[in-house]
Amino acid sequence: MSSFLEIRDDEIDVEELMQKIHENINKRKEDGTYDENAISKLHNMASVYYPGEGNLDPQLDLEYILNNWDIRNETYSITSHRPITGKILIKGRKLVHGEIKRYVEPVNFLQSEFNGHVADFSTAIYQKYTELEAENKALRSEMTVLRAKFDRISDMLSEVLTDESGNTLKKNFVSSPGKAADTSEADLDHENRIRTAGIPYKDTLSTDGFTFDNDAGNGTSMNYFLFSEEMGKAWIKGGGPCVNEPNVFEDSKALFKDCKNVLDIGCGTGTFLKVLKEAGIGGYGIDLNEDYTLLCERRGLNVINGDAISHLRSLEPKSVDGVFISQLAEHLPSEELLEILRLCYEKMQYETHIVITTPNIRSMLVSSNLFYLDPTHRSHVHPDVLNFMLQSCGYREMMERYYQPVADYVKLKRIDPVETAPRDMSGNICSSMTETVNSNTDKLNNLLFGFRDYCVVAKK
Amino acid sequence: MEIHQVAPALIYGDAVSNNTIALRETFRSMGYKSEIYAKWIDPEVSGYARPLNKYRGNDSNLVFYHYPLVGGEVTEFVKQLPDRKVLIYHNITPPEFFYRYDKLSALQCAEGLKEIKGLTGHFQLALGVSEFNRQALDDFGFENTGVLPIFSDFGKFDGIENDISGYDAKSGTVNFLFVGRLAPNKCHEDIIKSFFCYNRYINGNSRLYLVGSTHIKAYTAHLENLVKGLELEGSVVFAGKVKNEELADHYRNADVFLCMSEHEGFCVPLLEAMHFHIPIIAYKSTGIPYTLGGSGVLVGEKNYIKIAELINVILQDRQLKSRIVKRQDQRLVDFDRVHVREKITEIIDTISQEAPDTSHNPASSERL
Repeated sequence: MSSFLEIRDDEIDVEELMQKIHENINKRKEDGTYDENAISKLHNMASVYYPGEGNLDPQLDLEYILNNWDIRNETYSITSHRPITGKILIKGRKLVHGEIKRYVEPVNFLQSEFNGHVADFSTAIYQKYTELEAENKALRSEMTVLRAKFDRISDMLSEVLTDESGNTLKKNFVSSPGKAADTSEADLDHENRIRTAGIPYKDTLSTDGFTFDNDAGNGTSMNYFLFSEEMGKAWIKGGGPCVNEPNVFEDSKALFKDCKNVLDIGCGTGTFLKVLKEAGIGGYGIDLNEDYTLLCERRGLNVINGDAISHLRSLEPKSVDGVFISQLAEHLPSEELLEILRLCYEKMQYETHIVITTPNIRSMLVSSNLFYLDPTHRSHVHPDVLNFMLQSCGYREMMERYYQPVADYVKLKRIDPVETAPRDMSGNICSSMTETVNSNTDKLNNLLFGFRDYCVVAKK
Repeated sequence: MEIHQVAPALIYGDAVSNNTIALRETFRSMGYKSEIYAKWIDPEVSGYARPLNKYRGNDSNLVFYHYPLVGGEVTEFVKQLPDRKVLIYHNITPPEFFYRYDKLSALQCAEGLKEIKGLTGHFQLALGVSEFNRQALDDFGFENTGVLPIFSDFGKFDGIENDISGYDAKSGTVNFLFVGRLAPNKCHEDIIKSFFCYNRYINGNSRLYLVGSTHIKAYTAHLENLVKGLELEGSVVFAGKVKNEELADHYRNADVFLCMSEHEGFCVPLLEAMHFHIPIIAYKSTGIPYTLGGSGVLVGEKNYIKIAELINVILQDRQLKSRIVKRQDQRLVDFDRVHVREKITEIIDTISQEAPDTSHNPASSERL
């Protein structure tokens, strides 16, 4: 049974009907009949229903004022149900009403004028209030993050001060287990597994929030917050910053437009969840790391702390209308990745999208260098392999997109055909040589310094 | 035994009032002496009712009390009657729907919900006009509850064939219709938005008729602004409250009946749409699925594009449309006089077996 449509008649095939509706929608989308902007505005128009418990909020009161400031009543009618005396009664009442109206009407007019001004003033105050409220919220959220960072730095500092060995260089990246970043049972369990496996192993379903053995002898472990910051700096240093470049969050936001329940697997600090929330798209995240789910909660995002595979298994079929998996695939054994993709397919609604991003191993800068910045990266995921996995799960319309270009100053330089071009003995420009060298440079640049990330978008 | 009804008001065109009048005719046809007593009587239906203060009460009589938004002194009047009493609950809209537009209604609804919870000991039986309402009565704490469905008097539409609403049957225009007073719980804005998608992207030769009282001024203004904002002024008609002749004309010319209401106790216009063989597309909420009883088409989400496309598919597929209408025709039989009369007989039999004046001591009886 479709969640949208319910027809209780065995002679009507609801699935077929839904199929027809989807086909018509797609056809009209393809031929450009729909104005997506106008349609999205329809959904964003103020809803009439107020799902409160009767406790009015200021916005509701303001709307009431704006709706009712004009108190002049022009719809009053004088009637009587008495068949015989009714006519006389109506005439009498009209007479009295007319007399009273002469005195009441000017007062009502003045009152309505006054109410109108109060409504204008209230609107201005409310607008200012909402601006300040938003600013306050942003500052509070920033303060929470800063406070967490401060606590950790403060802990580390006290450790440095009390460390008899005075090995400060090492302590910059290390904190003791049991502190805020590694207090969860999952992390401790994880830490044990790393120790026994002897290799960096990640099953947290997140690129963030891991803790692994730095020194098996004394039980210290790496602090994620500091590590991720350092890793981010190294990532930028290795390939240059990306300013004003297309990014996967914005592109995915457009893809998930109108969705009600997008699942972000391995949501980390909730960057994409925030993008969804700001765009009015419904969704939630899951991450095994408790610190990050707590951070997401503080940021007002919907998040579940837990394991993605178990969570996906617990969902009803066709209960999500979009899946986003960013920087997770490279941490997983291929069989786990395949299981997640298979489960996602089962739980996604027809015609909805899955987006998977991971480092682009076609770029040698990534495959031989940047990829190893994170010791919990398990293996490269080649785009062709990911496409094949998706196809084998039943997905269709796969599309590859590339993100995070390497900055020009990192790449091999091309020869300027005029300024720096080689010249022959007579001083003439050797155009063919310039072209050959530039063509080779481009090929090498693509091989060495290709995009740092890629993503595959697929449809159920 | 005489069977009388008490209602705070009897109003022309009002669904509860129509039902009260239809019940009186049924009681009379069953051989009972039966009158309607109301505190406020609309001049246009004054021939059907008597002033409330004329009723003296008798412990051998049976009184059906149509519970209004807030009973107040009428409830107090009924409570002190020596008659055996049955409460008929037509539903109270949750107040939160009204806060934004009509605080008085919001307060009345809140007051009404509070008042009805205090009446559990005063009635031998409490009847909801739908299963949804019966469940609400259970939640309020009434011990003996049952269902007495509304049966609309389609006789009021008989023999009226005038073209008075300005429809042009030859123009091929697709007409959307919703009948119900303009009230926030009925979510007219969602009907307008769905119609916008149909009109703008599928078939420009279409019109939406919204028939019903526009007495909540602020909500009506909100809807008018919406229509203006969507540039639908020429395609959406606010017909207001209309006479039976005009209402029948709207139904006869409608191609689809679209209901997006988020709170309905019963929704009589659904029966009227069934009577005129119009396919019904309704949002699945509160009492609506119970009234449709498996007929019509229910939508589970307000996706305007999908709703517009759904209507388009239904209107283009004659076989599908006639199948939907056929199921509705079958459902309508459940609300005909014969069926409801059987139900009434059953209720009267049950009440008659019980001792009179069981105030504060409701006897337990089998659920009806």
